[in-house]
Amino acid sequence: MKDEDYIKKWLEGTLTEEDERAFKGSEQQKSLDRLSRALPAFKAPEYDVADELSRLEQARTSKAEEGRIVPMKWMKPLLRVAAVFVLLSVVYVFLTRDALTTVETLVAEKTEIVLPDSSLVTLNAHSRLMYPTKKWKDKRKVTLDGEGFFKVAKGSRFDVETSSGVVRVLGTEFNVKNRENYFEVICYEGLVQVQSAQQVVKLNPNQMFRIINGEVTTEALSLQVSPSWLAGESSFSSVPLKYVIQEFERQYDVSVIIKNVDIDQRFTGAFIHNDITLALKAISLPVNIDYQLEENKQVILSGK
Amino acid sequence: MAIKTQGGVCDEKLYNELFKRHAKDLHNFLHYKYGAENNPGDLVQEAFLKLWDNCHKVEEEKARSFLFTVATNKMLNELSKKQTVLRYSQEKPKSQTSESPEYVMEEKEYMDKLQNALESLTEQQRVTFLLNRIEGKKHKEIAEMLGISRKAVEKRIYTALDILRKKVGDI
Repeated sequence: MKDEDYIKKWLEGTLTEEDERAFKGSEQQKSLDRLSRALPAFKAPEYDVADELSRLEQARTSKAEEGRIVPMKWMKPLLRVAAVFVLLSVVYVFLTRDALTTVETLVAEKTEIVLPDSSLVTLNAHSRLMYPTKKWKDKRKVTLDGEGFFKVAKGSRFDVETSSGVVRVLGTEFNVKNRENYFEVICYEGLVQVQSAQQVVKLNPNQMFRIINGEVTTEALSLQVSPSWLAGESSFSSVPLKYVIQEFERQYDVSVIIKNVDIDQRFTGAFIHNDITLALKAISLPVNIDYQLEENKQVILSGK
Repeated sequence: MAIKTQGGVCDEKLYNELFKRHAKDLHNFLHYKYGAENNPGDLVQEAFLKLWDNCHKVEEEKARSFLFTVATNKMLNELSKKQTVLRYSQEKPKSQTSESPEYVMEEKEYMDKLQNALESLTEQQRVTFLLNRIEGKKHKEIAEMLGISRKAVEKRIYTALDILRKKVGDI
């Protein structure tokens, strides 16, 4: 007889004495024997029929009184209600609150954004623009942190909110630069209204409005179609040197160390964005200082 | 006017009689299938309450399979279903024992292995095997409980044993 048959017979309990003798002491017999000795320990706990029956009768009476089912399950309907609430509030938030679209540029990076009404925004380095996508139809409003050039499609009011003021237009081209303690708006086409904490100013093409450290300037510029930075050049007219250096750091992703230089002196000029040596010359020559280009992205400017 | 009890189990006496007849089997069936953690006792209660709710529709002869089906379906839909745990009863240590520590340890190891092996079986394999081996239920009876053929029961028992022996190892 084969093992398989032996096991089958063992299961059925049809082993003859002869079979038993034949397999006595074999591995098969020992393991099966051990198993059948061990299994009773897994017997289900004693079920007290009378006890359980009276428990059932109680449950049935209380159910008949209440007219509904089992007390222990109250959590379930409650959870259902809670789930519906959560779902509704999520839907509510989703429908009413408008998600803001945020576009950010890193240092030494520029990007172009087409707004839902096909207005065009070019973001300069290290800047952020946020606008609501869904509510755009009702209100054209963007929030700007940094510098951007706007070509606004004709239509209703268009607002650019910055920490220093609001720029309001109808359809036009203008540049907004909002850096630390520095706020500058230049209008290139149409009419722009700038509303800062101090005043409300209307700008015609090629007029500039600027606040540096609380000091307001309005200036007429020579004719330009768009800001020079769009063409890869930052230009300044009578701007404190420190803001020029900050812009230089943003465009080249370097840090500038200043030694013995008056950073409040006014600078008029420009530097290009794709040649650091040339740019450094452009900055240092007019104000008569030395520059040194170090490794690990450092530049030292020192007075003579 | 006499209430018609025919075609249902709404008669209290009959209902209680059915409980005495089937509750234990149902309990043990659920215990071996799902383990103690899933409260087979409560499941039995729920199944019988459901039987009471539907007492008009369920014939006496169909009551047993109704109960088994209801309880099994309940577990199928149970989201909080726990993993099957089967505990073995440990014999109380005798005050004087002739058993060597090695034997006691080996024994415990074997039981743990067997427990794991049993828990690793499918619900169907486990309930079939244990009803047969521990409760001594006949193939025919198990086949009726599970709603499968006797042949299938036989096959399941054999497969279960095969798996157990492989997992526990021949000692």
